[in-house]
Amino acid sequence: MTNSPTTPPGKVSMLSLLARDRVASTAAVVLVLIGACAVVGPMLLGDLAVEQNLRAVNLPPFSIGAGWEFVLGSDSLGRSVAARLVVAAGTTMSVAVPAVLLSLTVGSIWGMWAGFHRGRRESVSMRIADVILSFPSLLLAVVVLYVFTPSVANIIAVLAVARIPIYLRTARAESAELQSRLFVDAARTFGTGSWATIRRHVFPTVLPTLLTVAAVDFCFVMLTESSLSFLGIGIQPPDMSWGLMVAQGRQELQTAWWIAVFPGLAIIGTTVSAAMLAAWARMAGDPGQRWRLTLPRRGRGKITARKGVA
Amino acid sequence: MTATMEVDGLSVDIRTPGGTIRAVRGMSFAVHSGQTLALLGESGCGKSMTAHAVAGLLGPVADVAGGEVRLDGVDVLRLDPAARRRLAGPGLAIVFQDALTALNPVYPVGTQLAEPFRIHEKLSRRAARAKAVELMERVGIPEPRSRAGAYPHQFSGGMRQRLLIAMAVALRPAVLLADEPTTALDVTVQAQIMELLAELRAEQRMALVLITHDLAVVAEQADHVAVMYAGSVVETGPVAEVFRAPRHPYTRGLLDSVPSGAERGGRLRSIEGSPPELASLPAGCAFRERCPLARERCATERPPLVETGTGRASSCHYWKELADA
Amino acid sequence: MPDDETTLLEVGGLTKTFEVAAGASGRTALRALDGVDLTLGRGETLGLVGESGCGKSTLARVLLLLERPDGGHVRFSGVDPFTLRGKDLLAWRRRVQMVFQDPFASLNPRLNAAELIGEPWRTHRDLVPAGKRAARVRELLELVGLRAADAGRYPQEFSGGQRQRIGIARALALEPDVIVCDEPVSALDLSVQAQVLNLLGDLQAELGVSYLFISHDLTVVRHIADRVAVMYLGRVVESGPTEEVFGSPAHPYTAALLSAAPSLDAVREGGRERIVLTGEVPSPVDPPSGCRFRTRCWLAEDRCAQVAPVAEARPGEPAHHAACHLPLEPVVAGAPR
Repeated sequence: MTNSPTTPPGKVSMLSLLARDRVASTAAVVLVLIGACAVVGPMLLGDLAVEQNLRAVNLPPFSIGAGWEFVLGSDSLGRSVAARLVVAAGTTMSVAVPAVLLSLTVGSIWGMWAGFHRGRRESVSMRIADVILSFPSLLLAVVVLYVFTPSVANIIAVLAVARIPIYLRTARAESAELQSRLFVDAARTFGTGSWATIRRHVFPTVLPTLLTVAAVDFCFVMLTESSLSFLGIGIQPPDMSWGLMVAQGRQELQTAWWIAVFPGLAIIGTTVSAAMLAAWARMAGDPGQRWRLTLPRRGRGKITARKGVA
Repeated sequence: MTATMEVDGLSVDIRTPGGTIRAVRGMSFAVHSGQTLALLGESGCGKSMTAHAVAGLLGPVADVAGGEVRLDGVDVLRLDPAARRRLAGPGLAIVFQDALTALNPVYPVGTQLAEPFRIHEKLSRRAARAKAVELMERVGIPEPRSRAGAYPHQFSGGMRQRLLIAMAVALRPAVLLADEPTTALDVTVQAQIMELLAELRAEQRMALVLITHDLAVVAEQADHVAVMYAGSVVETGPVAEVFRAPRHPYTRGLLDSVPSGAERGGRLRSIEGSPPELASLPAGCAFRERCPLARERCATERPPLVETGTGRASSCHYWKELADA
Repeated sequence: MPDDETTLLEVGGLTKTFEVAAGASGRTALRALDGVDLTLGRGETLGLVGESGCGKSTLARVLLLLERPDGGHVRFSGVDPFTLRGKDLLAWRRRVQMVFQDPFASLNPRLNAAELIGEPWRTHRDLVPAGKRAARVRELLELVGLRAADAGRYPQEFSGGQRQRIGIARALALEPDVIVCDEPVSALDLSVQAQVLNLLGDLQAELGVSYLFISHDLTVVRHIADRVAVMYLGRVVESGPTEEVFGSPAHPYTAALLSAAPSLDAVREGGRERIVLTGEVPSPVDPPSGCRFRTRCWLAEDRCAQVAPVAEARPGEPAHHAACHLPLEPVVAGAPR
């Protein structure tokens, strides 16, 4: 009946659990590398990324002899794609991370509150979410960014507001289900206040789902930012972001595919890594599931079939 | 008298990530037509698994690892799937505990009840429908003709259980397996369902295998009982004799755990501890860690099921001490 | 029935109606409690029996202030808890606690045993000083028959019976006067059920706590309760000392319930006459007029449909009340039922 055939859960450190899972640890390494690029990249390669070299225009990637900086090729102005990729990581992260965190925080707290109390608070919140969602977020962004200046802070604000309903709905649905659970009733019988109950019982249970949603949403935010840049109201040159690089490289896709493809791969790699890590964290954070991560690798595929044993 | 169904040395394995677990370990029992055998045991003892194995309904992670299930002398476990399907209904039928999930919510009950007649007896739609209405009337559903068009959710819990029973007995099976048929029902409704099962058994000369954890239900409904613990039978015999003078310490512990009106407020003599994990059964006797009679021999030697009297058997090295006491 | 000095909890004329969706046509009223009167004395166990839908769980939820009643009153040591606010309300919460039916759903799977048992102290901060909490958790674990070493384990590592012990330890953490036990043993195996019943009995002897013991299992209630109240469709139809009610029921429903419950005595005494009721409990959305039980009662007359019977004491048994126009005759002691 109990699910603890091996080591008792809770006695294994998170890091050693992570090390056991090859996919999750790879994802973590990728994210750490990207983070490092974002922080130190602009300092190290800032000049190289804007340096034009008209004798090395549209060099294909892996050109031997043109110098290490052209390992991923160069763009139409002869700038190193590799250096631009590293520097753009900084801008991209400084837009996407705050935007995701902001919408995650606001949306999930609002959603948990609405779902926990049900009734009018829930209906009003859900209608507001519907209204925001029914606006094409790009249109909203265009209007706002034409009226205000397209600064990084404004882009973050617009992207965050547009994505709040995603977290709001997820958090509300899970919270509404949880608030009817018996252990939440038990907390009520002790006289526990609603915020304390949300913090103690709802938040830890909802968090893994929200993190998974956030990881996927990361991709959406980066792509929206690129659309805005494409329309000329996002990141403004000479600043660069992955989205902007994709947008600029799109015109030359037929002659120089590498200008758009490498930043595209960077976006995908980041998103996939984040999603992998979120999936791992969902399991590692649940005492009832954690033992699965401690199993020998081969048997893991069959586990889902174990339910339903009389 | 030869038995209608004989289960001999049945074993069932469950495949889990931690390895294979033997959930049913050499089950043997027999049931005669017109009689009720109760499989009595607590949760996780393998009683439902046994029923599912006998009915050929094991899930993808469980396999029959050995033994025979003979229905009128034919080992059904060796039949090919098609022959086995032909047997479901006229040979052997099963009634589940949860009547709501066992009925398909999107078809009227009349259609579902008519299905066995259409498949097995190749009746026309109209004839099958007429049979279904007849059956509904037989299991005590009021206004069967108009209710045949209703959907499962429009029936109460007790009525749904009647429908399930109707479906199971439609083709007059030789053996009916009832897996906790009244656990989800209220006491007054439970009494009605038990009465219906007893009537049908007598009327159709069925052999009834009643799977339950409720000692009182066994006492009232069954002729014979097989008490299960950790995947095997520990004691079997006629209900009246087994309950009056149990010859296995587990059976006695169960009987002592039932509160009786006579000793109100006093302490109940419970069994220490809880049932063992099937994955890590102790060597020797599975019950020894909770047993007041356990000695060194119990730790090394697994007691076989030995005859202790006419039609009675117990798997305890020291059953004589209980019989003499 | 307990007198004024020993009465801890008193409930009078309690009603509670829920709004339930009725298809596209809108909503309809479901009367879960329909004028319930109960008293519970200090150190006493009151058994509450009835079938599903009789309102016994709603009553428990009202007593725990999880639902607000529409009418009637609740008095706890003479105080109506629904008038309390802030600190007073918190202090009241401490005195009434609950043990839930489902030991799986009532414990948050993400918290370990120590966190679960200590959870109430995070709200009632001054009850146990922070430094002494770990020691108190160990004490409570041992009090309910678990090992102190179990403190760090999670619910899914325990068996059903052990989980229920954790639930009991959690209810005891606030040192309550009353514990409402909502079917505390019905999800447990028989052998484990006896252990938990013994534990509840021991705790009562040791701590003097009162139980409101809700169950559909008559043998369990008969074993543990001093007094018993039988509910049917939101009303108490019969109440009184356990032996009087079970030994000689006055209300036909109680008699039918007792008769329908399977019993081991079938083996011990041979066959018996049994009352098998027809039909099932009517829906509380549309209950019968007059006496709620009349549609299934074999004694029902015209007046049962017109006038709702009120609870009256049976002659010679002042504490034994039944709400029936045609109460059954007392059974002579010793005569077979």
